[in-house]
Parts: sequence; structure tokens; C-alpha cells
Amino acid sequence: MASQSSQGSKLSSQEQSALISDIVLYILSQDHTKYPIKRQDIVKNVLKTHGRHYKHIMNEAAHVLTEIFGMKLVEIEHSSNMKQYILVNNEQFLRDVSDLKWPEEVEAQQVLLMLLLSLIFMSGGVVKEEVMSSFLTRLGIMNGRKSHEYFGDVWKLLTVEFVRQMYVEYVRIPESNPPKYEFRWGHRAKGEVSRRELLNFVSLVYGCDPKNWVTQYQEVLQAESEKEKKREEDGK
Amino acid sequence: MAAVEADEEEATAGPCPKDMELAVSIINKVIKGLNMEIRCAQDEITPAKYYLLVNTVDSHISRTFSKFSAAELEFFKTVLSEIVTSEDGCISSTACLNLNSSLPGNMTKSDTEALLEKFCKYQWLYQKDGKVHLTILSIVELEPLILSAYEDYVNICRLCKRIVMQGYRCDRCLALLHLHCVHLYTKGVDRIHSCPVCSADQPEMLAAVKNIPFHSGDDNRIPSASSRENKTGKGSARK
Repeated sequence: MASQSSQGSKLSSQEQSALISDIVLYILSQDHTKYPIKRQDIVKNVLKTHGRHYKHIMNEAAHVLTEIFGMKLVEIEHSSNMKQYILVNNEQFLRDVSDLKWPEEVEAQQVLLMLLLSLIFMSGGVVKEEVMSSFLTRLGIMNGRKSHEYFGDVWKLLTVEFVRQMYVEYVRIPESNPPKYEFRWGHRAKGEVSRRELLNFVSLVYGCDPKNWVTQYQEVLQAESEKEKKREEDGK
Repeated sequence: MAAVEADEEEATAGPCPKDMELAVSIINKVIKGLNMEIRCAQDEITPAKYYLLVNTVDSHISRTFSKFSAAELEFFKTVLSEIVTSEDGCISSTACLNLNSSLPGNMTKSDTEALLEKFCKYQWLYQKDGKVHLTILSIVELEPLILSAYEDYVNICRLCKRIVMQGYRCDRCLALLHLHCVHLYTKGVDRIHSCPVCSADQPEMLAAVKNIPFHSGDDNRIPSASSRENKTGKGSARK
């Protein structure tokens, strides 16, 4: 089934299309886990001997992902050699998706994420782990290290799974002894989550106008204008 | 790959079925190069209509990087085989759990049970009343495989020409037909008692489809991008 690869440095347009479509499929299926996709895995599993065409083919694949699937391929700088990517919703479709059905455990995770990202956002971008822990305990979501009926192993989700999925960062406070940790928003949250939606949600809970939260509202506006700028740049 | 109920699109005010058909056919033109297609099909039991995003090619990408390991896929193949070759298009959950013994590797009963639930979670199979069935997503996506590998066992509904696992069976000619196809067929009032295939008297046929919640005001055609589909969908039996 594999076409004969040409000896020269050029790929036939058929080979190119096949590789582009393989990469698109690979990225779409891998992104399902929400773990970042490593460049080296793409080369190893999809491009194989055609590694030298990486840049060109990735550009085309990114284009397909944006134009056809409305998803943006975002590069995450890990260490200098290890490039990683995540797929982020390009937010061109603002339609209500509340009737989409997800498996129960995914829904539970979305709720949990919403809560902790809100806490971090409203607290100025950083939250110490004790604060997070007591917040979730007060809500009845955490009870020591016991597994919750609906949410599961909450602390493990926060410190391992969500970190791996790049929704949060769980980093050690420098110079802390004994080591203490804090939570921040991760790259995926920054790309995927609407700060405006979060602020609206929190305002709803407190029964007030979002504009009352002056600092946070400023951040919402700033994030939106940055996204607008970025979108205009990409469109060129 | 993924299934969405057609209802949800039709229920909200706005696009009508025609717009949906057009949108689907435009999308299909574009994703054809990616070996994907949106197909519309009706569940055999519920009988909700679905839009299904399927792979048209069994590429190494979809196999190697699927959510399931090679051993798990082997198990699925065994279950698929049992269901397709069964008499009534499903197998009991207990029989399914026993299938692990015919496979290499060490799968315990509880592993198998967990795996079965995983298949249900991702909508490859569903369980109801102690029986395991193929979902409409599996039937549609695996259609080419089922047609070629199980040629001697698979039933084709003579009214719509597609695979049928569960439905109404004529007691004279033994033809198996989709309940929703029979439902459409019986709308022609002079035919409610005769088998669409052999014309045998079938007094139970109408009763079999009477209590099922079909949609009213249906566009009788099931939208499809594939040209081989029976476009009239009126369910007239070919002689």
C-alpha cells in the first residue's frame, strides 16, 4: 500500500498529500488524550524516512487543521530540543455546545477544571496548594485523600493528570524548604479557556456584575485583544 | 469515529434537513482526501438517526494509534465475529465475557468486563438487558470489513440494501428487514400485511413496528453522500 518514495529530495504531490493526511489523522487522534504531542513521535511514527520534509508538511497539516477542523496547532517550547504541540480550539464557532454528550468521567473532569481554573484566575494567577486543598475540601469535593464518588481521585487529577494535559502547572515554590507547591494556569488553559466565561461564571455564583472584579475584568479584555491581534496576524 | 444524533440538529430552530444535507455533502467533499466521511444511518432498535464520522480506509494510523491495544482489538474482532454470525444479531454478556479464553494472553474475567465497558464508553458496542450489540457506528464504519469477511452470514435488508443485524423476520422467506424500513413500507396502506420480499401474509408485521417512536414529518430520504445508496428510500421491493 505504501507508495515508492522517490530517491530525490522532492516528494511527489501524492506522497505529500498522503503524509499530510496521515499527520492530520495522527494529531487528531493523539490529541484526544490531551497530552502534548512530541515532534519526535510525529517523525518516528508518521514521517519515518521523510523526516527532512517535516517543516513543510507540518505547515500544510497545521493549515488543514485550522481551515477544515477549526483547531489551532500550538507549539509548546519544552526543552530546547523537544518540541511539543497541542491542539486548541480556534474559537471561531461560538455556538452553544451544551447538548454534546461526553462520557461521565470527562464531564466530571470538566467541572473540576472549571472550579480550579476559576480559583487560580480570581486569585491573581497563582494559588498555593494548601489554599487549593482547603477550597476543594470546603466544597465537599476533597476529603483527605479519599476518592470522590463523582470526581474520583481529585488530588491525583490536579497534580498529575491535569498537569500532563497542560491545563495547570504544579510547580515548586523556589527556595521552599520543606518543598511547597503552587498552581498556575497551564498552556492549554491559556489557549482553550475563555477568561470571560470564567469571570461570568464566578459573577453568577456571587450574584454580581463581572465588571466589579476590576483587575480580572482588565485581564479578560487584555487576553481578548491579544487573541484578536494574533488572529489578524495569522490571517495575513 | 464519532456519532451525533441527527435529532439535535433538526430540533433547534434554524437549518432544515435540506441545509443539513448540503452541509454534509460539502464537508464530505473536503474530508474525502483525509479518508473520512460523514454518513447518516438509523439505529436498528431506538431508531434514532445519526450522523457518523467514519474512516474510509483502515490505515495504519487508525489502527496503531487507536485507544485500544492490539490485544484489545483482537478481542473486539472476536466479539464482532460472534455477533455477526449469531442468529439474532447480539450475544449475551456472559457469553461475551467467556470469549477471553479463546484469546492468547492473560485476560481475566474482570479485565474482560472492564474492556467491554471501555468499548461501550467509546460507542463501539452497547449492552442492554444482558445482551451485547454492535452500535450503529460500528456497523457503518466496519461495513466493508463485515461484508467481505462475513459474506455468508451477513443479512442485507432488501428494502434499503444495507446491513441489518436486528429487525423483523418474515416467517416464510426468512428475510430480515430493518424495523424502520418496514415502518416506511407499511405506510402504503394496501401493503401492511404482506412481506415486502415474498408477499407472504404477515399479519404480525404491522404490530411489530407499531410501538416504536419513529420521527413524524420525516424527510423519507436518508441523506447520503455515497451514490450507491437507494435515493428514493420509499422501500419498494425490487422483484
